Amino acid sequence: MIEFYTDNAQRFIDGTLVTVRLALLSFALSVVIGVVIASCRVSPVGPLQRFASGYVSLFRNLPLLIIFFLALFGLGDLGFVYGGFATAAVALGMYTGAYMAEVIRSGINSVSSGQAEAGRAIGLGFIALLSTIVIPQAVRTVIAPIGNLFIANFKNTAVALTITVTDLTFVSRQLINQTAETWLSLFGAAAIYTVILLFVGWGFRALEARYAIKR
Amino acid sequence: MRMRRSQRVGVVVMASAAMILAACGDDADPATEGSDTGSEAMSETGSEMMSETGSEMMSETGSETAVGGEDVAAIQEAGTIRVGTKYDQPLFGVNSPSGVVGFDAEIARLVAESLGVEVEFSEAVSANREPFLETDQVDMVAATYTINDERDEVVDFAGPYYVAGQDIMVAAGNPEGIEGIDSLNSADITTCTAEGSTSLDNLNEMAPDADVITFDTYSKCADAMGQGRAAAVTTDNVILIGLISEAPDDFELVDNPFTEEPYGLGVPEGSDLRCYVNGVLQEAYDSGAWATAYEETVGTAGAKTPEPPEINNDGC
Amino acid sequence: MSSVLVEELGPRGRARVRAVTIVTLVLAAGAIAFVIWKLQSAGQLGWRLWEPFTVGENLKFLLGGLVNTIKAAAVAMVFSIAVGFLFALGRLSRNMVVRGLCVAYVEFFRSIPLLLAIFASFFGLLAVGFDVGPFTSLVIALVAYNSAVLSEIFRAGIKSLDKGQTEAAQAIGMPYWPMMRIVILPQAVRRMIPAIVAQLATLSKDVSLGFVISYVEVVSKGTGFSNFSAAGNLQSYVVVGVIYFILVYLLAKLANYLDERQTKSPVTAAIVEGGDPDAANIDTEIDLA
Repeated sequence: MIEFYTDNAQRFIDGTLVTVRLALLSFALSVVIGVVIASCRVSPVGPLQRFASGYVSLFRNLPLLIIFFLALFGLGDLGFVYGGFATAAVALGMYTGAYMAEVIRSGINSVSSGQAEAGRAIGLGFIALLSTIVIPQAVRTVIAPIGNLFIANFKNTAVALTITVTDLTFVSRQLINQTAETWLSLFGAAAIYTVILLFVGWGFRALEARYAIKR
Repeated sequence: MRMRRSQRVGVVVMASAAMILAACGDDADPATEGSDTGSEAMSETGSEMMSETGSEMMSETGSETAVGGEDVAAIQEAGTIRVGTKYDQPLFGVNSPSGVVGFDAEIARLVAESLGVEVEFSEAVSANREPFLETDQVDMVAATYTINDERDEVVDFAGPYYVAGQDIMVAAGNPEGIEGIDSLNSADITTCTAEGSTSLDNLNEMAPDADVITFDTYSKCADAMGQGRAAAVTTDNVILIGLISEAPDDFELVDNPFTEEPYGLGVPEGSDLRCYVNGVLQEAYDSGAWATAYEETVGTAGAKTPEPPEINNDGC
Repeated sequence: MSSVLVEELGPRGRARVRAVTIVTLVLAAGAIAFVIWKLQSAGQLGWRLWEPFTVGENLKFLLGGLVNTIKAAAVAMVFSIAVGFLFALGRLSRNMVVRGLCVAYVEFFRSIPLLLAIFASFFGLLAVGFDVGPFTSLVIALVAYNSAVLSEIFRAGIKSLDKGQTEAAQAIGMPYWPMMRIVILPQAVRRMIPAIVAQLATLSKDVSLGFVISYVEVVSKGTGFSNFSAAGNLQSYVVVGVIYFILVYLLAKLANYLDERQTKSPVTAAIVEGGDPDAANIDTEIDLA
């Protein structure tokens, strides 16, 4: 049993690195997309609002699997051929971004309207209002849901194995097929996911305890 | 209990009789063996204690040819044969609005026709074919099922009824100049195949330095190659022929097979269905039904109808 | 919209908004035209490739897959609710061992990918001699996974009730279980229904992953079109995507409707008022795939 893990340690490590890189990249992208979409959604421009709510609705109502297939083969047919990893990072970032936008919007709405009015009273414009008053407070109220999103995004990286990404779950399945040590292969991957995400969950809880605004 | 058993034996006798007639009509040689079996089945009717272990004893005596024992009778009694087939293998087994179609499905229908029963298909994926048989969820597996020693230990194979070979598909004009498996053994050439397939195992073994990507189906590999994500797709030649027939302007076959994949019909270990199915196959070879089935399925993609492979009748 | 950020605009603001609106519309039209042009030049818009999806017989075939999707989602949901409830109660139990086991279960399944759980219930069970088939494998994995999520929703629902409810029950001498059954659960369950429906929407999306173990649902039937018709992979993904979108959209709408109806009702509004702030997390938690 120990031998199985020492023999295949390098493959588990490689898979883990791919998973972690994919999770971090897509999450960073989802934050950017989330901020942009949420800003569009609260902006006074009609088409931008509709674009933002359409975006959120589209990505939340499609299975990630279909989004991956469309991103790989659909964009490929449009002439944009990128590798599986890059495609997965962008597609996953866009998927999580839709959820992120909703979390950020709920954060923005949690800031009382009196604060916005006060901001405008001292002459702040829309962008300045968002960046100096609303977002700093909104972020602190959404630490817990963002933590949940990070964890969900991390787990969703596994779906990328359907578009050739050799992540941790891929390694697990490959070892099942090659070694017939089915349960050892599964436990190895499950243990790595669990340990990483327990630490992540713990980190977000600590952040929340430190910064969150309790209302 | 008593009633059921004697009914079952009755069916055996009838089936045996039918097969003797069939054997006499088509083939002169096994006629003597056929009559041999007939008498054995007859004697079985007399001594009821035999019927439980009958099939094993008969296969030990080695005098059974294309005549079913208890397992065949049980299928006939049920009125349906449960067959595991691929649902996503063009030309061999495809789940379509008009039912399961393809060469494997046709072969299964020939067997059912001979048994006088209906076919009931269910999906067999590569990973569950042996357990499917071991746990008696199907009576037979017809699913591009390559006969090999490892599998032969847990299940029995009728046939082979077709011999495929692993080959390579490249973009039209073969821009990379791929000639065979050795050309794939390079980090510069990306090869696509299906995860969990024997094709992948063969590739890993014969071209360990290959740059490999995998999808769940070969049609995704074809798409990936069409978009330049892979330079080659490797799997059994018949599957590749099917893919090429869908896009003849884009793809071509290297046509240098590097393995031999004899497809068999899997049956549970020790089942007397095996010898019965062998008989059906031999009959289909002789009557031309096999060639017709081939032409209507695999042949539609432009593959020439080959000579049917020799059936392994050891132990029958 | 519902934002706090926008005030009544003056003439200059309105002009600016109009300008941005026009720019946005032009950009959007340009993007759509570009996509159509690219698809056209790649030959992906040819009617021959889409026509198979308009044949009645083929649609029946495809919708058979949708029925399987819904079947797996429904069966998994029923069991997830039952199992999730047990674990929620276990987690609120006063027995430390029971509580610990329940926490471990929930935390474990909340930290592994669903795909890994699906592989475990398919290949893993096969390896120990249980060939239960793709449907049962998928349902087992979905139940293990979703019951963990649901138990958190249930726990939050139970905890979100005003402490006064528990205290009142205890004051009149009610033991633990009758209190749960008569006072707490009826109120908590009512509050959880929208969250459960929303989770059902997520769950039906997750059924699509069943195709990796060849459960014949709408994705596998849809992608199978290229095997027997002129349709290509891209067309299949788009059609399957549209079907999924409609299904999940309707479920999400239903969840929203139930939610709104509930917050409008004076009874639940009162319960929410006095609730635990943790309850605010329910909605965001359930959204995640």
